[in-house]
Amino acid sequence: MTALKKAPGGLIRVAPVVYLLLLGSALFTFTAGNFLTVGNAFNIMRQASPLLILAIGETLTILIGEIDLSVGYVMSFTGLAAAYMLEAGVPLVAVAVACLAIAGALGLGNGVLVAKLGVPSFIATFGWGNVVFGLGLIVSKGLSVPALDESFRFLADGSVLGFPVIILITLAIFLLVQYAMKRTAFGRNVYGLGGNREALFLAGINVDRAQVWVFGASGLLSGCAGLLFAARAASGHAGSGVGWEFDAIAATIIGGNSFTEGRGNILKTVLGVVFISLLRNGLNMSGVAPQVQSFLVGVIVVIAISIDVLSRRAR
Amino acid sequence: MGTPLVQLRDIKKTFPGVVALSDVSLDIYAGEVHALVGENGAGKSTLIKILLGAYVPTAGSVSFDSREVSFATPFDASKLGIEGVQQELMLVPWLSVKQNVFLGREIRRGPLGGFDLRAMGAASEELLAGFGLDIDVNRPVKQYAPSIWKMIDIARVINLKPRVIVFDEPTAILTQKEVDSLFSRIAELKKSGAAVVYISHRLEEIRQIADRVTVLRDGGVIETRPIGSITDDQIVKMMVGRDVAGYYSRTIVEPGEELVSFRGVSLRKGQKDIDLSVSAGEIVGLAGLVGSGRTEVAEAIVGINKVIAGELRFRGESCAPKDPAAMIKRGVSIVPENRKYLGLILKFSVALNSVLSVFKSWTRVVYGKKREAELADRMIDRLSIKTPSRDQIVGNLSGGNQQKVVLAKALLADAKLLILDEPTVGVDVGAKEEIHKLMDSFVGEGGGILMISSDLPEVIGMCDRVYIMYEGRIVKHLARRELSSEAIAEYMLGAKKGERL
Amino acid sequence: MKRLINFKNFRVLILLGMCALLAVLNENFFTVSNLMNILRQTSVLAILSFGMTFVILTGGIDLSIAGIMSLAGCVCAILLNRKAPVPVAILEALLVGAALGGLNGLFVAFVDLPPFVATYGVKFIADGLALILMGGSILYGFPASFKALGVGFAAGIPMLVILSVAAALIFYVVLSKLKFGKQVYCVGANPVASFYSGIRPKRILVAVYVICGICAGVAGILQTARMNAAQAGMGDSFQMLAITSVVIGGTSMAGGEGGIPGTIVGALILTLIVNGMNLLGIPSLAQSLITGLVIILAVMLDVQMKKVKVAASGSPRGGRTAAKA
Repeated sequence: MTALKKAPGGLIRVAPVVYLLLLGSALFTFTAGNFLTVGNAFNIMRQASPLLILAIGETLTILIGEIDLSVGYVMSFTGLAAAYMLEAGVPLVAVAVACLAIAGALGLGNGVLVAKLGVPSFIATFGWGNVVFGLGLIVSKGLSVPALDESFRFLADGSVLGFPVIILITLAIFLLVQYAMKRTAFGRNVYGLGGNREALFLAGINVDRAQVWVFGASGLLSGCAGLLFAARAASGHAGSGVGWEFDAIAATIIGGNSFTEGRGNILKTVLGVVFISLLRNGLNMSGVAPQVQSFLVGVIVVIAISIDVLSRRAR
Repeated sequence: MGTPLVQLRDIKKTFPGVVALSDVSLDIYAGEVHALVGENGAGKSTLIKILLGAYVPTAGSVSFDSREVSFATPFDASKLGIEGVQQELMLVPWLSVKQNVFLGREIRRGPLGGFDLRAMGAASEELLAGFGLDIDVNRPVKQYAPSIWKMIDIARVINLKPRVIVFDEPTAILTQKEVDSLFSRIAELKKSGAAVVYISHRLEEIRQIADRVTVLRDGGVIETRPIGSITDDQIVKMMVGRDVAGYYSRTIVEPGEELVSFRGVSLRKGQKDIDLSVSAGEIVGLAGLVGSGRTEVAEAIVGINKVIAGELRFRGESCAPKDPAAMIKRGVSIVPENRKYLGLILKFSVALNSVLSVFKSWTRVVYGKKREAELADRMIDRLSIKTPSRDQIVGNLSGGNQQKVVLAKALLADAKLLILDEPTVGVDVGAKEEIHKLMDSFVGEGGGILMISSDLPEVIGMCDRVYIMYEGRIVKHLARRELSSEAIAEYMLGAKKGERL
Repeated sequence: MKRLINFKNFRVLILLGMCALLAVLNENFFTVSNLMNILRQTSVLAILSFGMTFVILTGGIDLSIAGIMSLAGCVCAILLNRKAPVPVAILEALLVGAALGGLNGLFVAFVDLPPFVATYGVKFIADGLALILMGGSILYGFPASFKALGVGFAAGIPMLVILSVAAALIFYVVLSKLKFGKQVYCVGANPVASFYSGIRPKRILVAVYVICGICAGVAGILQTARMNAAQAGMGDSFQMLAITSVVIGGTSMAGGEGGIPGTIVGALILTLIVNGMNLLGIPSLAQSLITGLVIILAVMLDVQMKKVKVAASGSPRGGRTAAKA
């Protein structure tokens, strides 16, 4: 084997998060009662599922050097749409397909704004997200819409062979995206857009279109997250996802994904989501007030991102 | 030889204010290695970018297989089988080696049409083995050293089975073993009927593999000859042009105070012993090829690069320059090579650009519009800057006048030491002469100049002393009477025996 | 030159057009009291937008001003509730703004975080702090001298209007007449060339974010005085409006171009849009949709116009498109 520059990068980058996780978990076993139980573990996983799916979508955007601030809004909008459709008696499968299609289309909208019209991604997705939010508010008049359909709720609360369905669905989505990242043109484009657009262009790939698809994928995944979240909450609400984009972005970056060179993968995102979920859950169980939680999470995330950026520069 | 595979006829390429190529005609034959040599700025890169479809010629035609073609994107050229290995590496850093080798042409299998990673792995391993590379193709490309990157890029392109393949300075970062490997593959390409265009400044390499050589200079073809019929000296002479005489007039002044000196300086790991000095009254030249490290050295004086070993002295005192702002206050101004992006704010006026270095230190808090006007007018007059008004947007000026504005900025900052990085590139003849006169009077009045230049006649005509750099080291110091094109060129190209690492 | 004048007129024309439209909907539109009302409504947004103008001029963005505004307003309210003297409360709130602005500046200039990441993080810190301090409650009832800032009059003119006009004048002078302002434009147009020429971009960047933070602080104080109430999240609706005002007003997101006069026009246009929506009976729920659309359109226009100019002048921020050329 010739000329390796350094040890496989994956190990070094994961290290900080892993340490943080271990440290955090150790802390929480003292401050919280039921922290290290199987029941709590499943609890955390169930809670984290929508966030994980959301974060996976966000990871795709960040890997290509952009950002998607609309994921929270698309998520709530999809949940709202699902609730309305279920109420109207539409069968579950049709609801899922329709809602995912809507979410995907919303994502493509972001992509067009960014890739074809040249709007910076944080403005495009910020504005577009607010448009979606507004639409949801108008339609629902700001009220919650119940989603009590049993088969729908089964997605979130049910179990198959002892495993919560929601976790199985999330796992399936993870595997699907992982396949796409490793074995399809889509995944190759993600790394190419983030690492060397010129190389993709010279290989004959339509760089603009590739970008649009990435945003579309992010939208689609936000839609999945929305469906699961609405199933868990048994209702849809236009504002339920507000602020989730921060956790999604934070999880992506804390996990070790880089927005400057197309470096990373969704496994790292999983770690980031686990970290944030553990953090929130642990703080909750330690009796920390929700306001303080938000603040602490904000501070820790900012510190973690800064460390990440600074350490990369030092290398 | 038969008919050429590719014919470039009367190619002309202009950019705003600059003629990069004028009436270049070239024939490229299948089964032959055609070398392209020339100095920096001679037009080699522009020419091959046209061949590869990255640029569209302003005039002239390109024919392939006797049919005229035009390329809208590089991919059009690629479809005809014209590929290039550029100086910039065209790999995706965090995709695996095997994915990079097959970028855009992945092997697929299965009902979903997913990538067949195993087949790609086996195929790329075999391919790379043919280059003497035994690496784990599953690792991301980024984890390998730059020379391996280059080999992978080369392997990727050769794997496309091109009919025409262009190499642009491929051996710059390769080890000897890798170079040998590359050359045997090039020999194979020749045998299989591909046409190879090879750009390099390393004459010994060209002698090893090329069949014919074309020398470019100042955007035009000087000559195309079979490699056996021309000596290295002749090639160098053609690259560099006739010996300098009479164009440049300098009033030689006795050197005064030493302004800046480097003693045993190193700017990055592996580099050592940069020793150089510039005194008042001197124009000191820094010659060398692109990438030889000249700009790095020059920028160290203004604190853009940091000294990691050795000592930098400014006017006799040990100095660790903080940033250009600090050094401007001490009397050092830099005129960067990329004047459009680093030297000027193109969308602002001539007046504002000329006071850019000084207005911060004006005593009043208010920005003195009147003062700006006064100083700008003074400089427009003194440097003969051709502009309709001082409020003209600098981006609209010609290259020569833009450069004068950058010089005005330095002069208004009361510079004692001027660092000029390729000061007359893209500048018309008239302005070039005026800039040289200005440089002469500047040092005549007690200033010092460190000039980086790839224009050998300019170096010989203007400089009192010249340092020559090659691959990060200073390889020679020549005094005025020792200056000649051949001498400089030989050290620049590393062609001097014994200079090769 | 001619082209520049046309563009400036273009925005003012839109403004006048909107006035005409609203005059149709509201017969009292052109009365002094109504116009004064509109100026009053624009005041807080205007001050926020002035700060944002500085940041966008450097090619950055500040997504934290809503949070800073909330936090400053809450801090002020808490101090007033504890019977602190009014000037002290105001000063503390301003310090909060300056400190958080400074944090933004530090992240952008020294850690090299992209502005939207840095300010997004600070936003969460600010929001979080506000929530901790307020615990989700609303504080009411402040001393008359304080309330006067928001609802009082001086010489027949609303205090808010006086303050925002004063701010406009001050910031206009700073940006267009002072050396500091010149440096802001230089750093925004070309930070690298500025660096080579002896300007220190890092210092300028920290300064503009501090200014923006202080403006957010002022906005928080004034909003609290005006509403006679403070709660966490009180600044949220202003975030997008401020950015939109600046961009509509002609300050380019690429940096180096624009200024206070344009921002004033932009803020007025936005206020009139909100006004118009209210007059037409469009529910407030729909308003975020419309403002979202407006901001996208405004930026799209900005980008398209920039494309025309980049061809002519050339700028290092051409980024990926430049690489293709």
